[in-house]
Amino acid sequence: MSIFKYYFRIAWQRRTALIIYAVVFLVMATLFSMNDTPAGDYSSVRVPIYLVDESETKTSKALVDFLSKEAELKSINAWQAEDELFYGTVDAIITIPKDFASTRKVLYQSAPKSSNGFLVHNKIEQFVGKINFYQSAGYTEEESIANTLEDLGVTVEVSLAKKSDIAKYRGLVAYFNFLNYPLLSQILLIVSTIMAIFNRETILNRHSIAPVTDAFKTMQLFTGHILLSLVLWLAYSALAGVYFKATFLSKTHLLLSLNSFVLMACIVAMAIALTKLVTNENAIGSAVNVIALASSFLSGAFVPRFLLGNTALALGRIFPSFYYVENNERLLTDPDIYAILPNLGIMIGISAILLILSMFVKPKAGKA
Amino acid sequence: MPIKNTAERGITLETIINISGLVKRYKELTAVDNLSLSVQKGRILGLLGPNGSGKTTTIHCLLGLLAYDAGSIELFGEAMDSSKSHIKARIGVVFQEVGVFDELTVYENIDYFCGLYIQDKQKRRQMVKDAVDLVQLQDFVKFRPKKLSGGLYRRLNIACGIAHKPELIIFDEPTVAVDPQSRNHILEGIQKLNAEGATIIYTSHYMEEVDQICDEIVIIDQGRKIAEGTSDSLKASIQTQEKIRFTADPLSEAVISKLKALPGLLELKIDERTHNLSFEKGEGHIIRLVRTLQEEGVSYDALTSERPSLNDVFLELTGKALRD
Amino acid sequence: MFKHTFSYIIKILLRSRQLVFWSLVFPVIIGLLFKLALGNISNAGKFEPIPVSLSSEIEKEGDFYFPIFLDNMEDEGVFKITEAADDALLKDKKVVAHIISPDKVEVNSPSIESSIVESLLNQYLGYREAAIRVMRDFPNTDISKLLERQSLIEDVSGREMNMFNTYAYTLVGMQSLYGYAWGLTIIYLYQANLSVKARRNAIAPTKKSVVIFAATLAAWLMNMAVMAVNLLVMRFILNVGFGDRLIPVLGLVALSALTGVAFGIFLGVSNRRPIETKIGLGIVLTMTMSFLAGMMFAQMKILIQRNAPIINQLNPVALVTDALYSLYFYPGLERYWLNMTFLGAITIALLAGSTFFMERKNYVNL
Repeated sequence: MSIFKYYFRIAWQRRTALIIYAVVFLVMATLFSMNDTPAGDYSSVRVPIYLVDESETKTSKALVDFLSKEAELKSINAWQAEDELFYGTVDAIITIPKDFASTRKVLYQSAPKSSNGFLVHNKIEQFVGKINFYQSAGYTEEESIANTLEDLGVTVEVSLAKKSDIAKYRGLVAYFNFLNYPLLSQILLIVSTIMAIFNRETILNRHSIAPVTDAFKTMQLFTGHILLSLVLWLAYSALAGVYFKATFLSKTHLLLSLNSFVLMACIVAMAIALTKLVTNENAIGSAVNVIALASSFLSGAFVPRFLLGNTALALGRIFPSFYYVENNERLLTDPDIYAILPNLGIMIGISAILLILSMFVKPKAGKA
Repeated sequence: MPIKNTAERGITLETIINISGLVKRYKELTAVDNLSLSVQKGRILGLLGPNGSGKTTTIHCLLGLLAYDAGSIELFGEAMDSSKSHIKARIGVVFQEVGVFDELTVYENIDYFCGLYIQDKQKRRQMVKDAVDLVQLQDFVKFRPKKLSGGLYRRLNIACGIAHKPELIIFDEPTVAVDPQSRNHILEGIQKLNAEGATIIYTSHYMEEVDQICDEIVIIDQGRKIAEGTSDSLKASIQTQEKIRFTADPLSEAVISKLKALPGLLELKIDERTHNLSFEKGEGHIIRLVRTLQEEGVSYDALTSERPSLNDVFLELTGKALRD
Repeated sequence: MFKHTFSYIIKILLRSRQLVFWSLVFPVIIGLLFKLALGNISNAGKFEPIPVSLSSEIEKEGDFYFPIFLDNMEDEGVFKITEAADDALLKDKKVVAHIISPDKVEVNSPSIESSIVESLLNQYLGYREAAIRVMRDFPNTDISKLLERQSLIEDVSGREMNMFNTYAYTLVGMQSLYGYAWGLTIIYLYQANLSVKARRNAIAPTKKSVVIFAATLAAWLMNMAVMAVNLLVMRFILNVGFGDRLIPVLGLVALSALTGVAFGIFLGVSNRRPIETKIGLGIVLTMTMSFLAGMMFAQMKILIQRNAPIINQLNPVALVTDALYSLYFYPGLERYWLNMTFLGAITIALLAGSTFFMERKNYVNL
């Protein structure tokens, strides 16, 4: 079984690239886990905003106080605010100008027609409008503020149609969605590189004349692919437990792991098919990147699906990752094996087709 | 212009290369161990030794590519190092591994490398043409290297190294994996270059080539010089001076004893039907052998007699063959 | 010697088919991919009328003003109301909220839409309380006048922000660094311990600095050329906005192209790993820097800016991205020049480091 033995020696020599991808993914995973929100009943969305009070009057301070409860005030540098607004890490920039006491006007900046901005806009209107209302009626500034605050205590009762754990699992699902990219990159890269080495003209010829049947050689290589991919998959699955302790080994976690396991197998099939097409070792790196990025973008692993256009979604369907991400999203609201079985079937089907096609294509003997 | 007779005519030639006490170590391994040699102008020096004996390392040190631990190297009477551009301009090297651009044609490759030495475009054009003619690649000038056979590929390698007509040319195992026809072309080309005045160092582990073209030979093993001289002087320096071989059915002990008693016999080796006898210097060995075989009624054939080869020289000096 | 080396290296690079193909094609493919996947991104989070269902029991509540409030919301395009006997539409996810009464609403899950519904209902309830209070304390007040909506918020939002552009900018940055392949290719021709051709070049009587300079210039031109092609594709086919100042954009392309080449040279001479490892390392490092610059998640760059800005300042891809963003978004050039300065410093450091490694007369080991 010398092919199998040397498989891992060759893989070990290519470890640098693997390590870097893994580290990048760990950084992402850390970020996801920081956004992990606890489960619970209904709570309002608190939109991130940047707020500057240049007026420092009683009313303006009361407004600041109000907004700090209703929204998430970000403490960032003033010069960074516009950037943060552009990138959507802040949804509105609110400036209470110096002449606020006389004009009662607040300056507001946000993305055009932004929903998040609308909410903030509405809240400011609620507060400042109410104070104006009271003052116009005849109350003093202090009375107006006090009345407004009292009115804010009267709120609508919001109930959930059905209890859901969506919030609890959102971070975990995002983790598994993004896992698509490093799994693809690492497995495709290693498997394709090793296959390219074994498909080198000189090495291919040596194997042809050795008393090793093609089938036996293929079996050893395939076992190597599976084992290596399995190690990667196990590592990432277990890591999910470290980052999301609260949901470790929950039904959702286990199903997400199962889904990613099937994806892992698909990727091995993709890698084998890829090596039949691209034999130049230098070109492999670029080809892997194109596939990994294309697949991740068009399947909704990076960017939420509702943002993708119809063409993008249509193209995405050729990738197993598309069905993988769809399954992950389904598990968020419906953690049941039957919910994901159809797509698992599709993923396995795509892999089978790729493997069968690979069997019929003879590898082009490559020059390094 | 047979230069070989120059020394016999009593003319002192300029020393082009002078290596003295060269030592190069790689951690525990001493690749070159106190090597000294010199080459006179217009001579072809053969550097003969098995794989790993230190030939290429010596060449790299000589060219200033490799730092060495002790000793001195002088080229054209001057200490050599990588900053001596005026010395480099007079040297051409044909490396063991082929170093040409796959993206350029045969002509462009030669022109590129020649252009590193010769700036004048017109002069260079003629030199490139001469180089193409020398290696006989006229029909292939527009080809890319990948399209050439092994032999032609090596010829291109040579053309790239000598196109600028250097005074000193170093050939580092230029005929490895080359077909016999190409090999002959290469050797003829080297002799032609020498006839035009170039001093040449030729490294190889093929003794036949070294025997064929070299004026002087230095034999090295494990980084050390173990012998030097002309081909004839080296062969004359060893005990074995005649090797006789014949084939016959297995001989009886009596016959073998008689053969072993032949005067001047140094060694008798029997390999199935082939019998190899090594004799020291002397006359009449073959006559005595034939007489003995006839007296004993031995039926033999394929009887040959030959002078010792450089491999025999190496074998006697080191106890092993030049090529495994 | 300069001209001889330069012209031949250009020829060699132009004929390196794999290199040219991937340097050109890879970024174009990713650009098209971005356009497909992210072309719609600016419309994300845009406000659309919120579909809600209204309980038919509402009229029985006896709140006179509530239906008027709801009509106003519908007229203003805030709500899209459907009457329903129960919360069936809600359970089917056809509406975001089911309003049972002015102070009771049912939703599926916390979301921005449900929060808006909640906020608007709170606003209604708040004004209801306020009206009662005013009527009690100032009975002669004309409430309707007080309730007239005033615009208290001045919208000073600036330019239309197209997030797709920012993904495209990271692509420009990525491509500049992808030019490491050109740098790696040429340095393998001149470092004697890297290839036989390099040994040939080393023993020639040429001034090393001249030939390496010529070769580097050739590689730089090639990288600039492929970047220019990609920029044209992005501008005229993908409709990416670069602002209307061409010269600074070209300056940025020129400098970043050199950064990429310098990166490749440094990769080539700084270590003794095999060429395949260096190529792999080049790709992985380029993609990592692209990721940190926000290529996969645009917010990545801003998060780093907030928490560890030094990373952005040392990341050429982030610097290119930010420089292009500032040219598009800001009228002044201060931010652009800041990015160019950092980029220049990185380039000089890479070239200096490479020179340090190349400054050998000979080698201990070939």
